[in-house]
Amino acid sequence: MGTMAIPDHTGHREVRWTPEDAPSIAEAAEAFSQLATQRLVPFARTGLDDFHQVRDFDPAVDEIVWVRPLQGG
Amino acid sequence: MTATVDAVRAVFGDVEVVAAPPAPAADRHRTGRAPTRRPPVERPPVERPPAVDATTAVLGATAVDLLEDLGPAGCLVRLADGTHAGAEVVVPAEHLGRVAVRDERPPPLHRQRPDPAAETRAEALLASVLRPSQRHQRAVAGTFWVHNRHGWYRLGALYDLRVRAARRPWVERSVCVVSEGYAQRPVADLWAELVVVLAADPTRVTAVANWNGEDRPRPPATDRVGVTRWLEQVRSEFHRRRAEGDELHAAYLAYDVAHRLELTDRPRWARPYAVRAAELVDAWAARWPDERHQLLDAHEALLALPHRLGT
Repeated sequence: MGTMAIPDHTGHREVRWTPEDAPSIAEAAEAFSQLATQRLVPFARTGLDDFHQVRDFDPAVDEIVWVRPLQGG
Repeated sequence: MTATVDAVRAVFGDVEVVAAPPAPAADRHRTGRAPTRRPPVERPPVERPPAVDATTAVLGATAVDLLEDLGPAGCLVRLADGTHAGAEVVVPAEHLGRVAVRDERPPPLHRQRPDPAAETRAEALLASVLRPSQRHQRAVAGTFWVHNRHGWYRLGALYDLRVRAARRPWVERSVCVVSEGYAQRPVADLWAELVVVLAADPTRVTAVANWNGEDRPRPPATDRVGVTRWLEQVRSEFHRRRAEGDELHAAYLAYDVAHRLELTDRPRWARPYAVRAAELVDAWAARWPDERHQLLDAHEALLALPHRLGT
């Protein structure tokens, strides 16, 4: 099962999909596109604390963490 | 006159006051006559708080707690150490670049009533992206260090991230970086976001950060008494960090000291501090066997310093 963690006021919400479930993949892909247009940046986890930025939704990825745009405080 | 001398001594110590300020000549200008000499009037002593010159005081401290930003008037701070430790003074904002600033401003209103469910979810996400040693640091000290090829980063204090660039890890600078809408979300979410970005692309953080001054002033190069005084201040912070369980930060302090003493006219004093820093990092790495390799790699420069300084 794949998971997307999307930061929000609820402490982040999750979108899940399973590779065998086409509707869940379509739903996750749609969410991915929408978040990208909102300038959030997706990072795929490839190890315990190893992440890299991704450009497109890949249902084979286990976990994606979205990050809101950073700014100086 | 006695009150003036006392006020001067409160700021500058027990110094000899050799000249009184000139008497005002307003009477002469107004009347054309010499001012009338009046007999001195004995007044009862007035109870005054200790006189502290704000600028002198903040420069004498190595750390302050930021209590309130007063805008153009400056910042209300409490001195964390030095001669006037505990005093609350208003200082120009630009002077804060010379000392370590710990943000003690009250949290935004929404943070005073956090949604427990949101906090729990955010904490779970953060825990999932931290190594065990980082979770431990956060539990005992409230902050934790992240290491990557670009440097060492301390997260956990809002508005006061610390950065030590890989090319100069003995210089710690305070930076401020937040993610959009952070004030409406649990703060643990912000740390999780920064951990992810620091792992994937650290330049995203440093590119947008607001950079503040170096963490602490450097020791005087040739003044032995000044160096000793500086060491006493750093030493107290070192022990405080260790008492709080912040072993890595204590090691970094010792490392900074070694590096800076090397540039004074007492370079032989540097090596014991370098050795102490390496011992602390070694002990920390031994405590976390699964992360040992990564921790030793990240601290290569620190571990090499005792060898470079010789015996």
